Amino acid sequence: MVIRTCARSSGAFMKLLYCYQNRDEQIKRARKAGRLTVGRLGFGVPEEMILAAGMVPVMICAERTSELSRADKYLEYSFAPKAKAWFDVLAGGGKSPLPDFVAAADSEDVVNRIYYYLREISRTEPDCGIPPLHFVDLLFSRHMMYQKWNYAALERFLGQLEEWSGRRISEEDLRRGMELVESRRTALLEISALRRCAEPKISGCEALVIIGSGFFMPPEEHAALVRELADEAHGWPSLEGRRVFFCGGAQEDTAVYEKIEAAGAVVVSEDHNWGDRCYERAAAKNAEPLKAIADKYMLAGVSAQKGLVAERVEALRAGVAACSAQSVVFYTDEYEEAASWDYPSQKEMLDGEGIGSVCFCKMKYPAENNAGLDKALSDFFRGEGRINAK
Amino acid sequence: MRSERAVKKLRATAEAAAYQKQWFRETQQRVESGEDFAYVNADVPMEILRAMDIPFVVNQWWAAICGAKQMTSKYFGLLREAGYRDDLCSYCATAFAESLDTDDRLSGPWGGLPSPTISITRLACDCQGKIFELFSKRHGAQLYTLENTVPRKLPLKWWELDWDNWEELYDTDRLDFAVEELRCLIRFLEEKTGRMFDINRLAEVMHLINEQESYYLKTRELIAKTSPAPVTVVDTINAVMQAQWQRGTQWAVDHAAGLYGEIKALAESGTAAVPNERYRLMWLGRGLWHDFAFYQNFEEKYGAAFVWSMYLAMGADAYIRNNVDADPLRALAARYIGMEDFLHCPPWNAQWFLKEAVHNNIDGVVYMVPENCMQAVEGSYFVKKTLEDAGIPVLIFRADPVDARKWNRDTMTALVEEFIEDRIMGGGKNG
Ligand code: SF4
Repeated sequence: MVIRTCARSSGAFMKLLYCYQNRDEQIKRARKAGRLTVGRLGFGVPEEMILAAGMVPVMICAERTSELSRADKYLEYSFAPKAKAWFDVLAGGGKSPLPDFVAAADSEDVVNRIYYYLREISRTEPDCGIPPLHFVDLLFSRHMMYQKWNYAALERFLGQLEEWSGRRISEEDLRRGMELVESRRTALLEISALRRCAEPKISGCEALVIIGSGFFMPPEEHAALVRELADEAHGWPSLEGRRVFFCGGAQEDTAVYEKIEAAGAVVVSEDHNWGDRCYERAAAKNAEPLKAIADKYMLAGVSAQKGLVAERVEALRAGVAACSAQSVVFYTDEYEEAASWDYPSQKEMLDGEGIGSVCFCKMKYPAENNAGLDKALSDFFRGEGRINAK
Repeated sequence: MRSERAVKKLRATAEAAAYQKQWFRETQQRVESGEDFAYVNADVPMEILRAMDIPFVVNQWWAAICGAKQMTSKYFGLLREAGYRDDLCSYCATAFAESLDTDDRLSGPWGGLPSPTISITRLACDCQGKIFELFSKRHGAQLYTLENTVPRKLPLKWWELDWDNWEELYDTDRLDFAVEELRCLIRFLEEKTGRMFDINRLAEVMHLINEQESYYLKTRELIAKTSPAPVTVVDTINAVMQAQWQRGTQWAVDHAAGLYGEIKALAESGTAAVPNERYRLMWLGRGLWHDFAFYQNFEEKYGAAFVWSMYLAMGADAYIRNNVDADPLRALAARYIGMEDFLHCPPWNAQWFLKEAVHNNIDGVVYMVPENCMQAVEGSYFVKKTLEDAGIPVLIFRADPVDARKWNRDTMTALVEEFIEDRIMGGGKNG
């Protein structure tokens, strides 16, 4: 299925695809415009606040072609491959230009570890070129005392952004940052509707491009293009194939979805940060901005890393029902371990609901390195098979 | 001659083992009579439970017992049968795996783990909460989790501040937060068990712990300055770890005092653990619970003795908190939030290992990085570099502390032998 001709004929889609594929250009464009950039390591780093500071948020992502020389030097074997690649980029091993500053948040444990390592390299090798770092210490257990802690963590981040940007950030600035993100969110909801409807108009691969391009372009521009595209996509041919919910590791590129969709399925929703999860929750409009932002990140959909098993089971049940998925594909790379503890309980729930599932864990990255994946997927979609590929 | 089983010679080690068995039997009886019983992770502030007289078992201690009893192959087989991966988080998942054993009362170590009513863990990695949740569900226990915050302040020599100047050591808001966490935990335990927490009792517990740990300090100092060393880690790891989980009791104080007395007597009589001691080795990482004899493999052939492990040294440096009476809860907060940071956060771990290596006159470091544990991803590059820059060679290898399935003693022995020959005899401090 990959990306269809109808999408490629859309001017709006092609602009999004360009930003999605040429991620480096975001920093180059910002530099040209004299704007400072802040790398976001982990999804808990609030982009609204970076925008409020007049800076450009840049999502740290894996460079597929990176040789990982820095990661191999500093990291233990048990870092997941994409996390290795994030580290490598930030430690100066990649080809991409580095952001001016980096903020990390504990949206997954591996980010803490990367932050510790970068901080230590910066301390011991002052000429290492790692941008100045800040840790946004958000907690995700849902209790009032953690919420209070999170408010304080964002106060500290605000202070750091003021220092980095050299300007005071007002409540009005924060509200403007929130509005930009909210506008993009509502535009993406239109895309979601076009995926989840009875006759999907947008494939999983196309959706990853539409959603993910938002990390690499100004939100107002992204929102406008997404709206334009949503209007056009109503007239696109409907997709046929088994409706799949994708559960597991974040997909920073379309490779895995390409394989799933080439095997005869359509990915209609997912629970990872490069898909539906990244925009599902809105920040409350009538609360104090900093608190609204903190709550948005703290209470976003239950993630594979921070959710407990029972929460993950219920989240999957709801996610599958919301998009009328017929099958679930569980997929995690090697050393992306946390979700593996959820899987048996999630599978049991799906079995009870009569929904077939297939599990791929310990997968190689990039996805092309997994011999047998294409066949395993097509076997699964061809039959009622419930295989557990290891 | 290599022995299959570790030769432990201290009375204190045997006494600790005997006490543990007896205590465990009593705990089983208390649970059978309907008392609440808690299962807690090692970094949980168990002093609160001690002060409330709630019986508890520590996850890592129990995993070590299961490992030593060679139960893990069976347990991880059960995990696999239940649809779980059997190659993840063995240290933390052993008890959950055991809970799948329908035969546990008969075949489990010491009659199996009694069913807890409470389980408590810290969310110091992404898997811990999930594993404790699954474990709790199997036993019908109520799960309680504590969060984990990240240190911003990093004074390099934490061991010079933690006994008295913890306000200087930690970010103030982290300490405030940890105290609040303790208050919430206390409230939960009070409601769950119907027992009221008594701050004066906690102060007593904290004093007992200070007394106990001060014996570990003396013991560590004694081993550091005595060569050949009177004991090796085979004696100290078990003796200290078992008593550490009984901390806050008079028994633990007496045991620590007895351990010190016994080692002192050995030192004074010139009795050496390895009479031909030529090289002093440091063991970094968790104990190799399924093969303690491994530590003794290098004694006869090379005179290489493992004299250092974190178990005794952490007791010496990381637990004592003076002036407890001013605010026992804050003193406890200042103990428990550091445990994760001291061991797993660079530069705190690397700097401490270096200080200890120099202090103990270490010739080489054998560093076991566990399989599949993100929490133990602790900057091994920085640890190795810090030690090697100081002229102390380091061997890093991967192994599992409790799961023996992938362990090959011959291969590992050959690896360490090669390290001793090439890096210590051939080029290290004495080379
Ligand atoms: S990652 Fe390590 S600390 Fe966390 S649950 Fe697994 S074994 Fe335990």
